[in-house]
Amino acid sequence: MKSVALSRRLILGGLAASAVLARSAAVRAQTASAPRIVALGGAATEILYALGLGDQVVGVDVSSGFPPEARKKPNVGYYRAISAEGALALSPTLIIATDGAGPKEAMDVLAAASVKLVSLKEIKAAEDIPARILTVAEAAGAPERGAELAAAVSADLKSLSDDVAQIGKRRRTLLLLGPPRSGTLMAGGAGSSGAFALTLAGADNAAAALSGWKPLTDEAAYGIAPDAIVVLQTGSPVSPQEIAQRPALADSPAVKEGRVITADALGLVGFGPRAAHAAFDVAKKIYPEATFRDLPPRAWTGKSAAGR
Amino acid sequence: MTKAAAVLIAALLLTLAVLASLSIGPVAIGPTRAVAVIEAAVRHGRAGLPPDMLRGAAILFDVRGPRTALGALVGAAMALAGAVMQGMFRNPLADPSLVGVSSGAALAAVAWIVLGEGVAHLLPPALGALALPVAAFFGGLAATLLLARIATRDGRTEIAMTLLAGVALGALAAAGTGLLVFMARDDQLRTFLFWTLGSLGGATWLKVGLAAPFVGWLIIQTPFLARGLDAVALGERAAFHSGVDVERLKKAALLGVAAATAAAVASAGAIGFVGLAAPHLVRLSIGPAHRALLPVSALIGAALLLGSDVVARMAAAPAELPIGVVTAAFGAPFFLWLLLRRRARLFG
Amino acid sequence: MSALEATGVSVRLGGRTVVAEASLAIRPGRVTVLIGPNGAGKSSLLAALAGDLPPSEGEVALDGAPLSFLKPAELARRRAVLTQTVELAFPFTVDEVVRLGLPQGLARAEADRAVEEALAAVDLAGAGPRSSTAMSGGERQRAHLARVLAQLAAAPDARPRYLLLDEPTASLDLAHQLATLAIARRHADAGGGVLAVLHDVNLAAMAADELVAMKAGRIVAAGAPASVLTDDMVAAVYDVAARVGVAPGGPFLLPQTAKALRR
Repeated sequence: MKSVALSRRLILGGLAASAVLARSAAVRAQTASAPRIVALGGAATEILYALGLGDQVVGVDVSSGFPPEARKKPNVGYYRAISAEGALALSPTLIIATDGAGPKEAMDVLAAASVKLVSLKEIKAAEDIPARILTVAEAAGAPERGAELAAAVSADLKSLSDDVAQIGKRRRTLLLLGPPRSGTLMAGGAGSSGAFALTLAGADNAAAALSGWKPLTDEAAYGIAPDAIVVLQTGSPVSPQEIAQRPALADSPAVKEGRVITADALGLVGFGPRAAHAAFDVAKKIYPEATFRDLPPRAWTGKSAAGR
Repeated sequence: MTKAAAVLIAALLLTLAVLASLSIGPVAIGPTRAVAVIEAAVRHGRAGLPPDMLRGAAILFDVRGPRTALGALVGAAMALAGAVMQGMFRNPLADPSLVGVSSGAALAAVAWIVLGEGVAHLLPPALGALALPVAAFFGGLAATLLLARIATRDGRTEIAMTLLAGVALGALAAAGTGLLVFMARDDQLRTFLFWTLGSLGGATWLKVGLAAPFVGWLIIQTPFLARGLDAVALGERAAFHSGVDVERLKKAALLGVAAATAAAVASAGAIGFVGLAAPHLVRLSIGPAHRALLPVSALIGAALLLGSDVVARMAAAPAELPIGVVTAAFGAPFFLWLLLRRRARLFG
Repeated sequence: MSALEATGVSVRLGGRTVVAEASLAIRPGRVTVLIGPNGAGKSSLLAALAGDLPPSEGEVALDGAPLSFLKPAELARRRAVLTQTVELAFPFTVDEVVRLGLPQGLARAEADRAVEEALAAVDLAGAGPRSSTAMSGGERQRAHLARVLAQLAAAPDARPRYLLLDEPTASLDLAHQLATLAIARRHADAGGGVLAVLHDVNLAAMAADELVAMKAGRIVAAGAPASVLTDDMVAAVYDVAARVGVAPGGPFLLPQTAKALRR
């Protein structure tokens, strides 16, 4: 793996030198009328589509799994391991990169190629989500639609956080990155994207003793005895039975009382426009007895009515 | 040290490691409490336990129990396979990875992680957790069978050819693994990375039951292997002269090692160092005769891995250190120290 | 008649014929010695008789049974082989090395005695606990000879046993050279057969009942030392002009009188 990273670095070194060539191509493209946007990372793609700018998107990365039509766009690789030349080959006028896009060398090349490069910041608080929508909308030249979308998402987040604030006893919830098919339980600890998603859903992080995504000892998982378990689905669907069979979790209140919840990873921890609805769905399953005001159906969630 | 004493000491160390593995963990269960729980469970059965003992019973029987059994099995398999490989290749640096098991298993594992997710959900949930180990097992075994086929001509397996072809196949598998790693997403990469570093997490009695026959097969063959490997130390020709069916020995060693290693790697990931170091530790104390070396290596390997696992689950609790990190971090310096101290005995 | 016998044996190695149509019988009670220049095929013929190299033509039989029919373990009870170089992969003790030759399932006392006798025979009595890697080349060679002797000594049945020695005297001092040849002689006197490859023509003539000369893969002369070791044979086989003398013990060759013929 080291050698892969190394050779990538070497290739990028060469690319930086050839950035001049790429630049002239990009300048030529810019003179054409329609903006050409490359979106790196699922959140950037989702925001652009939610803004109705899907037609201007000329390239996405493999993590851009939503909305489904985005998958038909030319693919420039994985946003954390971007090839600068691949992205530049699409002659973009604007590149929007979700936080974590890289490697740094490739991003430097993109920035040096005088393409407009907008990097989204990491989400630390609920208000960062509408803020990131505004950033994208502004860069893409659609500030009014951006304001509308941001306001709607803000309202949804507010409605959810108000309802969540009413909950008396917060459930200790364990967030797992995928089912433990490789043997280890990969849990979202403090500071992970998952921890913040749990906050949105009004749950306490049962694995707060960890920092970041870390393998959790089975025995510690048994000791934690979480009240609810949220499993992030990345590719293939996960069945709750897979979790219930793990001896360390079988006795937990989460399994005994039927609160093993699966959630789409991109929707819940990607923190795009669907963030409120994804957290709402999870919150309703963590607290089935609580009453939540339904969120209004939103076109960008891809569902006709939210919160089934 | 006499051989009987060595066996006794190794058995004692393993017993201590098993006790440590059963009684140390993030959830505190004192030894007296543990004994009480086990006694009650034996007397009344799991169902008849008082409610205050259920938690301890679950930790002991469902979490630590299978983990300890799997650790002992995997450690024994790796050390035994390493000792057999070193004897067969007449090379103190040989380990099971030479016959392509580890690289084949790694390739199959990453292929399953990256490419298998499209079909993973089609499996019944009971198989979901087993698909990766099963894929790794067959990947490891397939690599060795392919290697044996390449290196065998007219019914004779060429050891030098096995070594070289093993290196070539390993490189090929590494290329495939690298390509898949390149294609992988973050979460898949993380899954694979942690798989390669090894873990006894997720041990179940089912996994123990699946690995046991393959490791057992190698263990059963040790008396036959021991006599043959001693003679092979003289060279293959001299071994044949002294009455060893060298071709049969090579086949038994290769397949036995492949099956046991594949099972070990499949159930706990590619844990390095135990296979290389355990036989050396033993050889340094009781000499190279395989009749004692093989069983004592197996015992020491099991003890080493269990000890490492206790550290792995306690050092960063509640998080779990990859066990490969522990075996190397503690094993390597100790091994170096021993080497320096006993240089004379090793290199004569 | 019992013998370890090669009949019309050819051996090919790496596409080259290294032994051509060789016929040779090692008989109980006799010491047969192979001589010849480097590359004559002596070691290959010995390897074919040992069962290491399957002949491409002809057959090797042990007391009438083709070698290929015998399992390695059966073969090991009836013939033992000392090859030129044996490099141990691990630091076994001398005692362990000698025990490697013993067949499986031997009673402990019997095994101990066989090892002790074999070590005494090669003048290494008491050297059992020493590490074989810490010995001189000559000592190590004798330790391996002891292993080979133990292998045959411990064989249970009364059929003749054959001892094949490939340059057993190579790294030995004169006293141990003589001692080794005496061991070979004792084996023959006890009813076994011996085949030895020797480089020293004089030692060969002294030790052999039957002297066999090879050149370029073929047996060119065989018979009693006095009939084989002649001026003509030396010239033909070694390309050396020398005068062979005769002493009471047999023929001898003084290197001081020898001149290379075509070099």
